[in-house]
Amino acid sequence: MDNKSYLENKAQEALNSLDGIQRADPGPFFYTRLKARMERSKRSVWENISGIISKPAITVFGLLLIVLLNTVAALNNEAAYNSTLTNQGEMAFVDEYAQVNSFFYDIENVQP
Amino acid sequence: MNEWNLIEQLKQGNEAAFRTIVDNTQALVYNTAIGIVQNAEDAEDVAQEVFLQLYESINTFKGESKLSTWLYRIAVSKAMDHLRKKKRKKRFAFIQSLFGPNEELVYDPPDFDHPGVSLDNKEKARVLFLATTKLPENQRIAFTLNRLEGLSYQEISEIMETTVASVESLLHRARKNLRKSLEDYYSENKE
Repeated sequence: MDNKSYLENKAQEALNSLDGIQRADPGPFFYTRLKARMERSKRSVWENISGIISKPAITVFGLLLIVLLNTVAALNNEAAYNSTLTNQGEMAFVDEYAQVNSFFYDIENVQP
Repeated sequence: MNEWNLIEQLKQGNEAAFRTIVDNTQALVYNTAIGIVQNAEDAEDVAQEVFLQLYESINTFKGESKLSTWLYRIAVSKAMDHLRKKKRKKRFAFIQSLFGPNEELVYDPPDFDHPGVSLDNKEKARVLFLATTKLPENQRIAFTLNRLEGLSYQEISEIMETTVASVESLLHRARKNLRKSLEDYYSENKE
């Protein structure tokens, strides 16, 4: 038998090796093991949540988010503070202006 | 009790109905899983995940297909996910092993013995299963469902949500690729 036919025969034999194969089954007490797993997965909801939170990527993301929110809040506060200062300046100017216009002459010469 | 009644009872949370479904279909799910993941422990894990999903999402099952078709679909999808996860772990372990001598590669058994293969065919089937690991995903799924579960092209097309012609083509290409892999294997490992 030449090499080519030999290889073809071997390949065909291997392909035929699944003829008449029986179904594999998971063995006895599969349902019991399944129920135990279902119980475990029910109990570990909080464990899953804490597991997710404690992942390094999530922790770093959380910290970055807190820093970002703080930065935004600080910038907003600064802007609000500056705008309050501007208003205070305007008020002071108006007060000053009003005082400038109230001469004692006006007070003493009240029109009837 | 017929399948439809069992599903309706399971939807109402009846545990006995769940148990009957598991008892009736566990071999189908496990055999499909073991054909794809080629490891008994992993197949048990996948089979459990399949039934967990069945229990949790039975209310989304509208009965447009048979329950077995739905279970095959979940089993194939979970088994393929399992393989992808394992591949990722293996790659990660390989990268880790480059940085330290103590890191071990994830154990990947090279030989797999399907428990349903006759003793005479064990060795040949081992080589064939090894060759199936080199097939593209869809070809591997179609081949497993056809050869291990003995499903018809029509049934496979329903599970894979494709046409019968596509399944025929997938299986034709799978056989061609397997023949090539097997010939390569035997030319390197001549008796």
